[in-house]
Amino acid sequence: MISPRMKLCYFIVSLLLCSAQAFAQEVRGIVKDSRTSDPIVAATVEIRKDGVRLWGQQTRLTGEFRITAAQGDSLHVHAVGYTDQWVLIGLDTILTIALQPSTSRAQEITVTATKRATAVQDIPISTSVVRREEIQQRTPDGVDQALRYIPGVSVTEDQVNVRGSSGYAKATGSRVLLLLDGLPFLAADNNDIKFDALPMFDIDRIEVVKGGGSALYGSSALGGVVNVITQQPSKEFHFASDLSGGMYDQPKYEEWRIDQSTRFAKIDLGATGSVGDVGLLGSLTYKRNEGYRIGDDTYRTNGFLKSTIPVGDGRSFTLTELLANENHGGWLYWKSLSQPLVPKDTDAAKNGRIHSFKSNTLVSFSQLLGSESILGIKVNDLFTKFTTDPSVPGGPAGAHSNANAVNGDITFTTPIALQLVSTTGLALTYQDVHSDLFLDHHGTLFGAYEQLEWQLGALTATAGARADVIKYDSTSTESQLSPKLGLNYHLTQDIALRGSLGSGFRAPAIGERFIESVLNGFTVRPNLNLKPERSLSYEVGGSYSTPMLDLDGAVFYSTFADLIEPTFVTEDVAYIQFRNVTRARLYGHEEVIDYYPLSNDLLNLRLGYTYSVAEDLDSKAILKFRPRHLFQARIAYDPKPLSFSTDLRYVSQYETYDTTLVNQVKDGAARTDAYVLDARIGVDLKDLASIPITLSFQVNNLLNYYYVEIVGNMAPLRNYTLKVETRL
Amino acid sequence: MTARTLQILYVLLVLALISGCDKGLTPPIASTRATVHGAVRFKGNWPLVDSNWIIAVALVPEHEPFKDSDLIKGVLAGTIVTQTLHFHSKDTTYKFDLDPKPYYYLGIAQQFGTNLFKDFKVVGFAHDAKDSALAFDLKQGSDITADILVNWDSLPRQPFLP
Repeated sequence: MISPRMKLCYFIVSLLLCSAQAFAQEVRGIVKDSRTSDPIVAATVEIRKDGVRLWGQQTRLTGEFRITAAQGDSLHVHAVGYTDQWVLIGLDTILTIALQPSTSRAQEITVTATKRATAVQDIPISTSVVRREEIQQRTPDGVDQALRYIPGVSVTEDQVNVRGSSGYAKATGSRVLLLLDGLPFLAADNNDIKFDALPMFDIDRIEVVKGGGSALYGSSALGGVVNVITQQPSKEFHFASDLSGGMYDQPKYEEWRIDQSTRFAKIDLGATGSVGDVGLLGSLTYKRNEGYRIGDDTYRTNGFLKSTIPVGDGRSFTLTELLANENHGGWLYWKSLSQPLVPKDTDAAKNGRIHSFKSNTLVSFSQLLGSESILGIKVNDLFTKFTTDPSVPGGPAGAHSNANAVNGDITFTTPIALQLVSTTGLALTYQDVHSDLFLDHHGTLFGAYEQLEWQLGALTATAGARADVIKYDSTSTESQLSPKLGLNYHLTQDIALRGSLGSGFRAPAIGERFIESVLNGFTVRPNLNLKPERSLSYEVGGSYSTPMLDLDGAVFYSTFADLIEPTFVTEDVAYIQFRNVTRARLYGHEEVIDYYPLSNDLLNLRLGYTYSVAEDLDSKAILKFRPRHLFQARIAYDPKPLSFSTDLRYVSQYETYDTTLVNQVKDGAARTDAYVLDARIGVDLKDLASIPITLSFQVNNLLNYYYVEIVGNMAPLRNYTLKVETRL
Repeated sequence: MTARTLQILYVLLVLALISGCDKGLTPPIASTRATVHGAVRFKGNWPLVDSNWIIAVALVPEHEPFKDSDLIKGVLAGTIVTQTLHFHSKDTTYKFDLDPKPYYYLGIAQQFGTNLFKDFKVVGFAHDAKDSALAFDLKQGSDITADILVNWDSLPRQPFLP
């Protein structure tokens, strides 16, 4: 029998429990960036008790959330790139939570390696991220210039080489996949990168994944993936302009000097803001460069417009349009090392001007499904066109080509079990080419991929694969399967170990399969039997990250098969043809040190070294156009209002060249190691006199060092740039 | 190691690297010599191993036809310049750096027997569209490119006196 006292106790307890139930309430709120007040999308908001997650959800595109919570519950709010926050639920049911951007560089967000926002230290493959501020500080001519400062990356003409994986082969497609906002940005005819069309002024960051990436991205991700990510429109209106101008220095040697003006200038105008919920971002650029060589001048106009449109709860559209128009001289090779700034054929370089036009239209749709799933649909249409003026006025027209590449990608990311996230996707590429060099052809690539990421405490395991089907015109259908595996283990909060296996392939470009032309007097014949190039990459690495010091090291090994090279064939008649000729392996190591000895990252000292050896497995020869050593050093000191920075790049000379190419150019074998030192000084008048202008003076190739990156082409001489940046 | 020490070491490392570099490429010194170079391409099946003694590119200062024995004498005397190639090699290149003077025949000779003065034949030579041997009047600083095709299935006419 229960005593009256006990009954009273039970009654009071029940009353309290009912009260607690009664006080379970819907809590609404918004999660923002404490620095910019921009909403944070897909931040996780969860109720935890004794370290156990009870329930939670992700914020919408407006940063808003709704969650059931009782008074006294702890709300855990976190997002990649931000410091976690705990909020105690009280009487207030409408919350505004401002997350502080994380100062930990290990928490830097990347989206390329796993197709979803992940901290860089949690990725199982080496990834470099270079942010807008660092890019803008160097005033690069284009993205190809910006990539040269990333550890492990070198660029030869328009071909990107990650850790020696690509080398250089004239007129072949890119062996590194370049993405613009997540979709391929490769021309349909040559599968090459059109660096001049990329919107430099609107870049937010560049992410480089080093290793085969076809398990998520399909063709061309043989040696790596470079993702150029543009900025998002801001809430409030801002205007910006960059005016820069300068000139190239004269060479030290009298016999090398040319009688030509070598000035350059650029104007960038940009604006961003929101009209209601619709965000807008746009820029216009005009560039004029007289060049440091005869017949190498460039005139370029670029336009970029981006609009983000929320359309209901958790849904949004993004529309992007990019236009680029360029006119440049027909420079190919020098006359000789005695006259390196004079073209081999002066008339052809001066008269045979190349006119090109590119446009890229990108439409993307994103929707949050449920509390933690995201559906993304993207489509882009990259149109490229070039025409060449006759080398002799009144003579036959030069080469021309019109090419269209349409890329589509559907990605669905969802947690499918506790600590297990699935990313599923379908991708389609359609290429259409009309050209005198390659004639009329089309190709279709279809891919389906799946990636699973399983987190077990400090260990994250990733597995995935992509199947691709490729068909060009009426040639037989080819297929490729690209698997990947990855492990990432956090030994401590500061130390992470990683290991990965990635595969890559590159379907031959339409240009390589179908080209019919005459090159240096030799007929170039098509090859309908070309097979895709393939690679398999292995990597083991580790990172250590503290507020003062970041260390990263990796050892890598890759194998390549069926690499395509333009080959001289002697059968009935001598001709040139693209053929699968090489099996190769690549091994090496890479170390990067970033040191921040002062608070607020006032001073940054960086050292990066990459050693790589690429060997032909059949002949045992070193592969052409691969530098064995890459070294970068940077000092950046920012004691406002002044700023100073220097960059030193060292690239060891290529051990082997293409002898056929060398023999076509006088002194074509001339080469040397490259030491390039750039220095910059700037002053921010906003800190000094409340004027929103930054002045900077920069000298590139300060030592006026003479070197080549490609046969018969002297690299840019020392040049001076004065820049005025205005930010309103 | 203190932060200051690390910073100093860093700057010294960078300075050391800069000081280690030279000025890079330089204009070539005006040469008193001349250069003849080019590609050698092979087509068809190589002869059997026992008939491959020596194969070499030779630049001859005489007009064809000339005595076969004079070829070896010229090599030994140094008036004929040669560069040995490898048997069963893939397409390769050659390069001569020589005194400027006229040369009238550039070919590839194969020794197929033991008699150095007799057991050889020409397997390829540089010629024009009319199958006439190319002549080179080399001056100081001349830089001539001449490619040669060796077709084992169709050997060229021999430049020797009968």
